[in-house]
Amino acid sequence: MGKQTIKSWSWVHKWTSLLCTLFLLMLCLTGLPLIFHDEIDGALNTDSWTPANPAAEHLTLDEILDTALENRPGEVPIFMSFDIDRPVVNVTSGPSADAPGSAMHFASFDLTSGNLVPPADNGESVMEFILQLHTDMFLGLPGMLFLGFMGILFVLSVVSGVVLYAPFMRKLEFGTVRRQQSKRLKWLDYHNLLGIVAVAWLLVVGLTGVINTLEEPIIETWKSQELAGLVASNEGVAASASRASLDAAVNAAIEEAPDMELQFVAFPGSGFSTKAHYAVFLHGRTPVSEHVIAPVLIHAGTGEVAGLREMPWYAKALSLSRPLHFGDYGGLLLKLVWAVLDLLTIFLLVTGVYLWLARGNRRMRVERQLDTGEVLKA
Amino acid sequence: MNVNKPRVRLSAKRLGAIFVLPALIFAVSLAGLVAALLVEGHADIIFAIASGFGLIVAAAVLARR
Repeated sequence: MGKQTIKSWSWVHKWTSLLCTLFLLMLCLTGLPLIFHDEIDGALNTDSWTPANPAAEHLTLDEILDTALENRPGEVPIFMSFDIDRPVVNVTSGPSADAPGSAMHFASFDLTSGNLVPPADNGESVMEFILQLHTDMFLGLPGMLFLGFMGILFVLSVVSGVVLYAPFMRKLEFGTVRRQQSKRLKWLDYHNLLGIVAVAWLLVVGLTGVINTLEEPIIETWKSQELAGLVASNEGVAASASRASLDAAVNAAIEEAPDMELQFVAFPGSGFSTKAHYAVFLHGRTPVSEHVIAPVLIHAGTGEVAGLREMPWYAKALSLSRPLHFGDYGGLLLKLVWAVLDLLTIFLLVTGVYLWLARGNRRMRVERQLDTGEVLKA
Repeated sequence: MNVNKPRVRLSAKRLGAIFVLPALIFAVSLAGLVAALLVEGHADIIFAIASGFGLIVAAAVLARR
């Protein structure tokens, strides 16, 4: 590697790192509590809820839907979703199926009794604030795309750091920390060691973070291309005044994809369906396929299956990038590893800025680096 | 010191020696991160440890020195 090559990679490493440092620092600090989102929720909501009749047979989805609409007279159902770890069904309703989010009402029901389940939302506003700061800095899509650009700079800084690692380590053994020489060299060695051992995690979290910032365009593309095809071919179908059984519709959907299970239902007229169909969204049963969803349209009047459409590759990539970014898929130990690596990233950012500030006179620096084998000789 | 010396190439052998441990750490960590997503159950602990393999190596190296 020649002098000019090292100089070019140094330039890339310096500027990609410096430009994204402040935002990466914010992302690391806000990401830390998000790793332990479930544990924080559990600690702040200690009143554990139990179903009214644990041994009883579950009510049907139609019975739950009737109960939900009795509680909200004049409203129509928009979405129905299901808790994973407890017998609870969540019903979103509103004045119309295409009502904006602010006009929607969300209520949870005990599947064993039909009773309302009290919301466990202590601390939720704080976590939502942190999540939104982490996701888009309260700027919506422009904020997400900007953070995505910062993510690309971060990935470039990691790659350039790996390239520069070779000339820096030319005369040094792996893990050398020159504590007895200058303070700058000591922190440079820590920066190099801790950076190189975390490369896999830094790249995975960086790249999945970039993919996640494209969530809105990806979902929109999916809706406008893949789902639109399914919806358009059924759009002309007349809506029916009578309502077919929701349970029968869900069972018919599962028969279409027996290796999948129910995730949520979008009711006729909502953003994810047509005016005449239930859109029953299914997801896989295996750890990988559980993030992959497929909608099945069922005519809400006749209960006839209108079609199933699998996710395209780019939507699957988005689904898989979410857990890989937040680290909440492998138990508490993985979360702890995630947290330590998050703190390590903060260390890398801070030492990177320190190394830049303490760079000193350029000629003296080059001579010192050459004397100590800090970089490859030119 | 003359900073305009002719360049010194890193031999493939030296480059290999520099990157052998980082490459091993990269492979084990990446395998752990992906495997934890693909497999559920008690193996999660092994995959979490594999994901943090770089941390273990760094801690061991720093403690030894």
